[in-house]
Amino acid sequence: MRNLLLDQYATADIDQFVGKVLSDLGNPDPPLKLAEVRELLRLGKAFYSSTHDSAIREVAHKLKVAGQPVLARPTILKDIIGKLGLKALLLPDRRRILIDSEVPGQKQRWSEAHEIGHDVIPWHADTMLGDNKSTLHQHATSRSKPKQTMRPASSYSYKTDFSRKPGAFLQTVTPSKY
Amino acid sequence: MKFIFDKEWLQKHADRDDNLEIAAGSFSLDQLPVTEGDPSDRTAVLAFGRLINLCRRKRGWTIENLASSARIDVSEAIRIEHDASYVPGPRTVYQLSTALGLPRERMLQLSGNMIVHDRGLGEQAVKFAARSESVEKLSREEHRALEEFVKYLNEPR
Repeated sequence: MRNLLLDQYATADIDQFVGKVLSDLGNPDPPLKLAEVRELLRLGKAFYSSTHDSAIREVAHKLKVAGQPVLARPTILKDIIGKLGLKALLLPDRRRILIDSEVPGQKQRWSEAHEIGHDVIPWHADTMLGDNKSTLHQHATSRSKPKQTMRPASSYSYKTDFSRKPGAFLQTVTPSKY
Repeated sequence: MKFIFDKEWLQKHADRDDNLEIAAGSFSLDQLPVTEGDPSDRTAVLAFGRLINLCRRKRGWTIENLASSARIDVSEAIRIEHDASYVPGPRTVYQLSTALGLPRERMLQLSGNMIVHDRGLGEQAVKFAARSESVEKLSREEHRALEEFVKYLNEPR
């Protein structure tokens, strides 16, 4: 696979992180069960929709950075999700992945794998949530993170018999937003 | 609508994928104009490059040594040290911070990946950028390189 989006070092690092998770799971036969990956990483999963936002409300008021509550109003998180059109998100503080239940099933699997990717890439941890001292610059959000999480997402989401080629993935299911 | 992919179909498309550029989903975020940093951001990025330069030289490393230790491209290491408009990505900052033993969050801020609301870091970055410029006399090699380059620049074309 020719990869024009990530340099060779980032590609190798990400493949190594993905490989470590698969190895810790005992290199299971495909298809990979994402629930087992999440269990290994101690990540929960919940769904939300435009009409059922209890999963958002449940985590929003508990969100903290450096011990401080992030949001004064839990509804702000729902507003942010709606405004940005997010179909899934990772809340590292709550160890929870939230997925839009209105997304079709295969895309949900992709989104789940994509968010797992954020969790396994160590340099994403520093850029997950800002605080009142600093805000993530557009450089950091738009240029590399979506591309980097595509790689583990493709590996986890489409792991089939060509599992020895973790980067090989298909352009068949595409998330509309990251 | 239901999608059914059998193994042969997956294998065929995986093989076909081998020499293609990979892409998925809308890269709508890429279409957004890049926010230009304000002058203080530029100074912070300048200080970031200077800091990397000094930390590298303190260890007696060449730029190639630095790139190898941090596992980044040599060309990117050169840009970081010499191009104050270049903002490295979060991975590069993470790798450099780890290789040089520098605090990651501060490095993300200095490198232009984070907008700092705390003025203290910006002021310290300006002070560092101003003070860290070498005042030592040029070495014989630097002197010769400078002379040769200026001579070239002055040659009529």
